[in-house]
Amino acid sequence: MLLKWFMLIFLSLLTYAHPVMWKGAQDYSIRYSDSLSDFYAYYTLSRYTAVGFHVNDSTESNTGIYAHVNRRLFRKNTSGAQQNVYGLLGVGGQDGDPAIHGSIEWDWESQKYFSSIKGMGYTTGLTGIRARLGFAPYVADFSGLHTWFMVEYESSNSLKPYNTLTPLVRLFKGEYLIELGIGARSFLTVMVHF
Amino acid sequence: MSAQSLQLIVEDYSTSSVKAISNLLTTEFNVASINAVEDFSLLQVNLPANVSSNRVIVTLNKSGFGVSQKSDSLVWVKVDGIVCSFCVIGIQKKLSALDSVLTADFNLETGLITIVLKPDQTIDFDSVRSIIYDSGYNVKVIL
Repeated sequence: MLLKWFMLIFLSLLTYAHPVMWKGAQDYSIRYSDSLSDFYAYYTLSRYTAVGFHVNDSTESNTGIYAHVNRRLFRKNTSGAQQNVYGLLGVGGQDGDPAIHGSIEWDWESQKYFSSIKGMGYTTGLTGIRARLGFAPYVADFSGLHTWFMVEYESSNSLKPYNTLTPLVRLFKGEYLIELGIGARSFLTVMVHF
Repeated sequence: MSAQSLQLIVEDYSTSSVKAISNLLTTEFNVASINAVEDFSLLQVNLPANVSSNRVIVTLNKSGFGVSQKSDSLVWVKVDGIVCSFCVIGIQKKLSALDSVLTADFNLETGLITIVLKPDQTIDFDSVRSIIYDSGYNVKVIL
């Protein structure tokens, strides 16, 4: 049972770990899949740090809740591109069982291309990798609808190890973002920030 | 009449566009001196006394160069690393919330933020720098 919950938490962390936004930003996101739902809420304290919590619910277990600290460890802004490294520490529990995890993520993006890779580990020994490559078919203006096509690779040594490749589309406009991934691990993500 | 100074903001700034503008101004208006601020789209043009600023601006815009005259009611901020609206909408909100700001518009392609001030208002550049810094970016130039 303990391992199952640890796996559940771990899988939920694979889905989303929000980077640091602007000072004072609040952001909320929900991710749905056929077996797992996640809710995230974050508040950005500074250009370096965001704090928040994560709640998950699965068809196979009870609800869990976790406190997160997300730290921007590195940032490089260049003309037309940016590069980041984020570290995340999470502490919480699932039905009374304590859990600690960590992750580190690198990304580089321009107006046309996106790439990221993330590695994560868990106190139970669970580890995983998620990587994304994407491109924008057009460059929208500031107030327009932005569209991205991406492919996401996930690998985990969980109780049921898997390696999946999921194509996804990301749409955003203003404060709203939607992602739809179709494949062996289909998902829908909705995010809003203020 | 003496020569007059004109400060032009060029939306699509590059070495080649500045060179083309320089050639056009020299040919059309006999402009002797143009100074470009490094890495930013501001040109300092010394016009002959008999050439109006408006004429120069109209000519340049008709030729395909997006230019406008710098004025006290406009603030131009060049920021590196701006790649998507979702990441920088907070900057726009915070700038727009300043008492002296009428609008704040972004050009994602050039990384240029254009701030239009309310009539007879000024803006503290340090406040602008602080908002952008707290959002993870750095001001390259502010004019």
